[in-house]
Amino acid sequence: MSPAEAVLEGVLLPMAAGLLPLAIGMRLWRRESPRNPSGWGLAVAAAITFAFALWAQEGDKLWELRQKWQWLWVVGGAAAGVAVATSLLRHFAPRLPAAIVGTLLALLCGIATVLMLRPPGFDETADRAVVLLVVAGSAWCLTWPSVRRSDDDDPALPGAGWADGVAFWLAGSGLSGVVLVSGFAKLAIPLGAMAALSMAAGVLAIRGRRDLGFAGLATLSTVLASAAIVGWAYDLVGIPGWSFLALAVAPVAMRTPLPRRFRFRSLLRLAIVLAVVGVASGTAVVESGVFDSGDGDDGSEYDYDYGY
Amino acid sequence: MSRPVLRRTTLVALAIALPAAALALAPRSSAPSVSPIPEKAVGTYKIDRVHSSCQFRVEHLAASRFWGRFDDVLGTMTVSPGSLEFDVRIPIGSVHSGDGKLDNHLKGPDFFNMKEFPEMTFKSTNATPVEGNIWKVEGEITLLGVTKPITAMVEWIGYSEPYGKRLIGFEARFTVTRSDFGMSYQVDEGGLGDDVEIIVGLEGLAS
Repeated sequence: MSPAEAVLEGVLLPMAAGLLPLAIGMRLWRRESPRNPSGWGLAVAAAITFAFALWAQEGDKLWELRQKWQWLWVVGGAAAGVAVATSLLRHFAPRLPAAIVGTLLALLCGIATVLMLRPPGFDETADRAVVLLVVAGSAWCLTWPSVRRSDDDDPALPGAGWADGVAFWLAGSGLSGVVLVSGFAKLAIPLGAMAALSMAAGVLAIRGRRDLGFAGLATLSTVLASAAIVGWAYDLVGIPGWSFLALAVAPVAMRTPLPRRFRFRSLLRLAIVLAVVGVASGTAVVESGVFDSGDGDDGSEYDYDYGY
Repeated sequence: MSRPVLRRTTLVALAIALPAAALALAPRSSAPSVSPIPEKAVGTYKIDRVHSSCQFRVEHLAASRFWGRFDDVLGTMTVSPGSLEFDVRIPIGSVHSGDGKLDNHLKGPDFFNMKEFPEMTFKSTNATPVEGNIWKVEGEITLLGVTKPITAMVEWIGYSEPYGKRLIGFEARFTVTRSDFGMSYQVDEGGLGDDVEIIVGLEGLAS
C-alpha cells in the first residue's frame, strides 16, 4: 500500500464518514447559524470518525475489545451519547441552569472514561482521579461558554467555531506525531483522522460564523484527552507524561480570558495553543530519541522507520 | 574354462545373487523407525535460559525475510516413557532485533503489547513420535491474550550426563498466523507477512 493509499484509508475516508452528520448538525444548507447550536452533529461525527479510523487499523478484531486501548472507540461513542443527551436536555428543559448542564456533561464524560478505559499502569485510585480530572476538567473549560450562551435571549453571538476547529486540529496533529514516535502507529493514524475532522468542522464553521457547540466540543475533548492518556500509558521510549497531558488540554487555551480591546483574540489564543503543542511535541520527539542514529549492536549507523 | 566348470560357477553366482536381489527388492516395513529417548532420560527438566532461544522469521516488504529472537525462554519439559510435555514461557521484554528502536516498537501495542501481555506461552497437550527423532507435538499457544491450538514438529537432539548433570535438548519448528491473535499491523498493507515461522531451541537441566 502506498503512503497515499494509507492516508486515504486511514485518515480521509474516516473523516469523510463523519461529514454527513456534521453537515446536518450544523444545518449547512442555511446561511445563518442556528441560534444556539448544541453541536450534536459534531459529537456524532467525532464518534463515527474515530471508530471508523480505529477499525481501518484493526479490522473486525476491534469489536472484540481484547486489548485495553481498543476501548477508546467505546469511550468516544459514550461521550457522544452523553453529549447528545445533554443537548436534548438543554432543548427540552431550557430553564435548567447552565451551570448544572455544563457540569453534568463534563462529569459524565469523565466518569464514562474512567469506567471504560483502564490502560496499564492506571489502576490506582490516584491515577483514575487524574484521568477524571483531565477529561472532565478540559471538557468543562471548553464547553462552558457554549452552554452558558444558551441562556441568553440575545441573537446568537458571533462564534469562533473556526478557531476551535483549528485548535483541535493542532492538538490532534501534535498528539498523533507524539504517539507515532512512541511506537504506537495504530493510534497515531486515527488521531490524524480526528484532527482532519476538526479542521473540516472549523472550515465549515466559517460560513455563518458558526459555533461548534458544547456537545461537539465535549466529545472532541474527551476523545483527545483519552487518547493522550492511552499514549502515555503505553509509551516505552521515555516521553515525559506532561507532554501527553499538555497536548490533551492544549485546546483549553482557546478559553483564555483576554481583554476586549485585543482585536485578534482568537488568533492570540491559537498562538498559545500552538506554543503549547510545539513545546510538548518537540520535547517528546527529542526525548524519544527518534532522530538518534547508530543504535545497532555494532555501532553502525542506520535508521528505523516506525512505519514498518 | 571347461563347460562343466563354467556351469558350476554360474550356478554359484546365481545362488548368491538371487537371494541378495530378493532381499533388496523386498518391500520395507511400513512402520517408521523411531529412535526412542533412553529410559534414563525420563524426568522433568527446567529449561536453561542461557542455552535456549526462540527465533522468528517474517516476510518484510515482500523483499526479504526479517529475523528476530527472544533471548529468554523459560519453563519445563517432562519426558515420560513414550511421551513428552512442554510448558514454555517467553517474556516479551526479551525480544531482540539488534535495533533498540525496533525492539521498543515490537514491545509496543502495534505488535506484542508488552505492557498488557508480558509473556507468551506454549503448553503441550499431546506428543506422538513420528519418525527417527521427530515428534509431533500438539498444544496451545497464548499470545496477546488469545489462545490457539498449534502443532509443532519437535526434534529430539540428544541426552547427556556431563559433570553429574542430566541434560536434554529439543528443537521445535512451527508457523503461526499472527493476525489470528490480533496482531494485524501492516498485514493488509503488505508491509509485513502474516505468517511467522518460529524455531525454538530448548536445552533442559534435570530438576
